[in-house]
Amino acid sequence: MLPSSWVLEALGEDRVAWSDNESARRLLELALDTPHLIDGARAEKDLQFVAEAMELAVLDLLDADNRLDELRVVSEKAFQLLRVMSLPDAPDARGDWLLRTACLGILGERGADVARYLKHQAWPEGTPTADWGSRAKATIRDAWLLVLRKAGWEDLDSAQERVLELRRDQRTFEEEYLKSLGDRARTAAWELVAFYHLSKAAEILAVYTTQGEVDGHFDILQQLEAQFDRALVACQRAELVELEATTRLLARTARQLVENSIWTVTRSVDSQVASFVKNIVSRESASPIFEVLPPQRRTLREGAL
Amino acid sequence: MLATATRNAARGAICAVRGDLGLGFGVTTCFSGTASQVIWQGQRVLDATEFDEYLSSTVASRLEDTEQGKDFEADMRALASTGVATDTLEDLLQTEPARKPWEVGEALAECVLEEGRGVTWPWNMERDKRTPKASLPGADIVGFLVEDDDIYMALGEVKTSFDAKRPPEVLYGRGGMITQLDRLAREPAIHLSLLKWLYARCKSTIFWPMYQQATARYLRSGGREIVLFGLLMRDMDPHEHDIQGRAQSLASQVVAPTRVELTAWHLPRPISNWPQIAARSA
Repeated sequence: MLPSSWVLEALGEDRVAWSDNESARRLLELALDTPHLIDGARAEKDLQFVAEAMELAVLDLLDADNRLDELRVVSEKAFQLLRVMSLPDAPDARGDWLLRTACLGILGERGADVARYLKHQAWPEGTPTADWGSRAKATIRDAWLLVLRKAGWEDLDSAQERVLELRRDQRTFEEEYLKSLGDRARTAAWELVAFYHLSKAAEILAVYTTQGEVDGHFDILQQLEAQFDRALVACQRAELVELEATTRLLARTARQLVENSIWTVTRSVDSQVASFVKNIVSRESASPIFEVLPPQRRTLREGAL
Repeated sequence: MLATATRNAARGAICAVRGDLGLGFGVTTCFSGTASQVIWQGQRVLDATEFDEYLSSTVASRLEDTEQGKDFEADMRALASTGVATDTLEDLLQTEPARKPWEVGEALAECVLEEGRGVTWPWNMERDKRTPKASLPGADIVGFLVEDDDIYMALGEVKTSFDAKRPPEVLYGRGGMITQLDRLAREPAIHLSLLKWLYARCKSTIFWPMYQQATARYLRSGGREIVLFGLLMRDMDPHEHDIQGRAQSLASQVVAPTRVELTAWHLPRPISNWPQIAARSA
């Protein structure tokens, strides 16, 4: 049964059902470590079409707060498709692929699978000789992937280090980069503006995940929204198509991560819980817990804990 | 259509009488043809005064920027909150770069497609009009074609060229118009990226029903039912050699229901003067 979405209706039940079967088959092959049984080229192309259309359906649901269940189901379907498809070889395209797949997984409430996916896939290597625009993009994407994976404090510390690294190197490389671009400099400048807002958003989220506050403030959603709104404006100024779509996805994913955070969930339960939470999140904890799983969130919402 | 066509041997073109395409200037169809899913034609504008007026009014309004100043200050204040240095970006973005002829050519193409062909462009109010429109992946222009009761996603490539060669270099090679149109015809990933981008421009606006209809048509067709436009903007006399051969070559690649319309516009003012003429509006 398809979720109610005009995009999926236009895509057609047959195509969606085929993609469900194809992704299940591929997942089984991956689990059993067997080679593809069916010629992949055509299927890969068709699967990509369905996955991209699913992303369009997700986009249509991102801001519809009264349709959260549909957003979860469609995001999960898109995640299930993308994670069994071949990743692009080009480092930049590969990094973008990992990021959107991870965001869709988070929105589909498959956080544990996202962490596993990001652990097992090779991330694109940084290229020190690349231009500043490419380096800035790669650095910010790395920061976001680390926040999404959050395998312990190490990932969240590394995410913040990436942002500091970006600010440090900006003075050295930005001006020369923009001067080298001629007619394209204005477009690149707006792109950098968007990147810098996304870097600040990643930093806010990393700090909140570990500390439950940012500089003594608890209005995390508002702080994040301010950064994403400005990133979107920069994308619109220069018509940055891909970056705009990524920013919208990241903005909704960040909101979901804040809602999943153990700090957010327990704040509304009981103030005495705070010290307990600090313990299980702390650096000293062997396996710090930053998030609460969907069933636990539901139980807490219903006041059963 | 070409009832009073006359052969102009020196120009290698068959020119019809002046027609009315719903534009603000007279147009003469000088050649046309069809092959499979591709149609092509050459249009000539003779009256330079009418053309000047069109550039300095209709086209100029697509290029001008009225609200950017105060918004820019807000953009820079917000940027400072990220902890990065803002001086280099601020200096660059507050400069007023001179218009390039190709930017005017692209805006002109949008205007003639809108007024003469029924293509609608969802307006981007947030766009910094001093930033060249060079970042759309794989398409210079993106909108909807309204044809009878049907609506299609419309994508386009625009090339502005004073190259004396026929066809001009801009039609050839990897970055040439024909290769770009061929790629646009066969890469759904580009279409869906552009549909995502259009989404934000159409949702909660008068364009939303158009968006839904064009997108649903596209998805039902498995990523094929779109209309592609290729516009070659020239300041030379018309000649079918400008596009005919390349159009026939493209026709062998494009599969129904995708359609392609190629138009060579032969305009009465040197391309290098277009920015200056368009700037006369203020």
